[in-house]
Amino acid sequence: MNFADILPEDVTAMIFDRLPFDDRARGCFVNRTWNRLNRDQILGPALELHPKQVVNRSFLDWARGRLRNVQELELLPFKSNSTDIVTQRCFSSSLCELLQQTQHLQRLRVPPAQSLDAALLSRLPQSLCEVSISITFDDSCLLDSDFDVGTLVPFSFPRYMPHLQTLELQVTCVNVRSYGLVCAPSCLPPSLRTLSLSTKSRGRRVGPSLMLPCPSQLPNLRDLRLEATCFICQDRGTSMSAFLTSMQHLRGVRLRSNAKAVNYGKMLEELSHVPICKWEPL
Amino acid sequence: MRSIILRSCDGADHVVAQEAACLSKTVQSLLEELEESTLVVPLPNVCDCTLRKVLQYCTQHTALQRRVTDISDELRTREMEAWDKRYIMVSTDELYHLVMAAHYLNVPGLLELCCEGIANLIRGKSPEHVRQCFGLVKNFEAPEEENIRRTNLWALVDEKEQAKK
Repeated sequence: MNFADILPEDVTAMIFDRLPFDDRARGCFVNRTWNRLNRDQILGPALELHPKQVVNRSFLDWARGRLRNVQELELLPFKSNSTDIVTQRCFSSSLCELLQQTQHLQRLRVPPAQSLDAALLSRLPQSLCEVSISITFDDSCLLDSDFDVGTLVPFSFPRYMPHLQTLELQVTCVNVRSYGLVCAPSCLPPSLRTLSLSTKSRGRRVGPSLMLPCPSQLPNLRDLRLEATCFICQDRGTSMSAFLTSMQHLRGVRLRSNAKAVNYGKMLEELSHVPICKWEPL
Repeated sequence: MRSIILRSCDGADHVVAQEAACLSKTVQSLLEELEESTLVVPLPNVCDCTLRKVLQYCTQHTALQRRVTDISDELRTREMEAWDKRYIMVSTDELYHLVMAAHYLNVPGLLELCCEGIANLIRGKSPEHVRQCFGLVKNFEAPEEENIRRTNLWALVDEKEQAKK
């Protein structure tokens, strides 16, 4: 019996609707009827992809024109191996290609274990509301960049991201040889309500510092989480206390830093206008 | 509680509580159209065996829905899901007749359950495996198949890897 031929079309559609996109794509190989019913599938609003799919040229070609309804994109983690850097770069550029084809993407989630090329940040779709992303900055990135090695690691966002409300960004610096590294996220959109920035290092004893965003850039910020060896204000003179005091709408602050740098715990205790304050040593 | 008789296409009568029978919107509509005194509803598209299976579903779900006082919603949902899982473990042939009956009788929950059951038979399987499972024949011409292969090659990657392992 041929289910797809005998069953009413609406029942067949109900069956295929329950299947993930890769099963439906495989269904095209079954016979003509299954091919007819599955070849034009459009990807649904929530899409979960394995990195291997993202870097597959055949998949990218197939996905072209099928991503217009995708609203949530989640990447699954994959294990590191000797070709990690090559894979990351390839993954980042392929992901960029995918992202450029989405029209209504609202949520992007890349697991912390899966790092991306920092350049991807400036090419995120403007429709995004929530971004959870992890980027790795390594020697090979530095060689490609125009910035002075080891002084400033800027992460620029698109200047116009009117809907972005939640940003969770984890920056990992790998094998960077210089000291005094400063991560500086710039062009954060004013719509942000929740901001979580963390910086880590692998292969170095001293982790990077984090340059705080300009308070005037974040008029709607309610929840702030920062993690770094220490924090540096944009004018290099303003204190963390002054930075937090200037953001009157904050409802929660969580800081993790090197206990030897500055006693942020005591500083937070004195913040009267923020209901939830917490400090933890790194 | 009022009982009615549902008559299958092969003439077998099944006495069932009206409440359970009315999980089928088709039966419900027929009862509304027929005279109030009518107790026998003919169902010319469903055989005895399949009708018995459908009614098993309707009776169980009605009974579980009525247990509003002694168990929580969460527990009831869990119980229903566990029962459904056992219920749908049938042969491919039986599943086919059941989905056709659920569609004709318009029992939304059962129809969804059957579709899920069929989808589970397809999920993660190779095209060849699916063909075997449903008795399908590959009827492509060579250029047509080559075109499909070119477009959907990525979907076969995992299968190749699995074969290697």
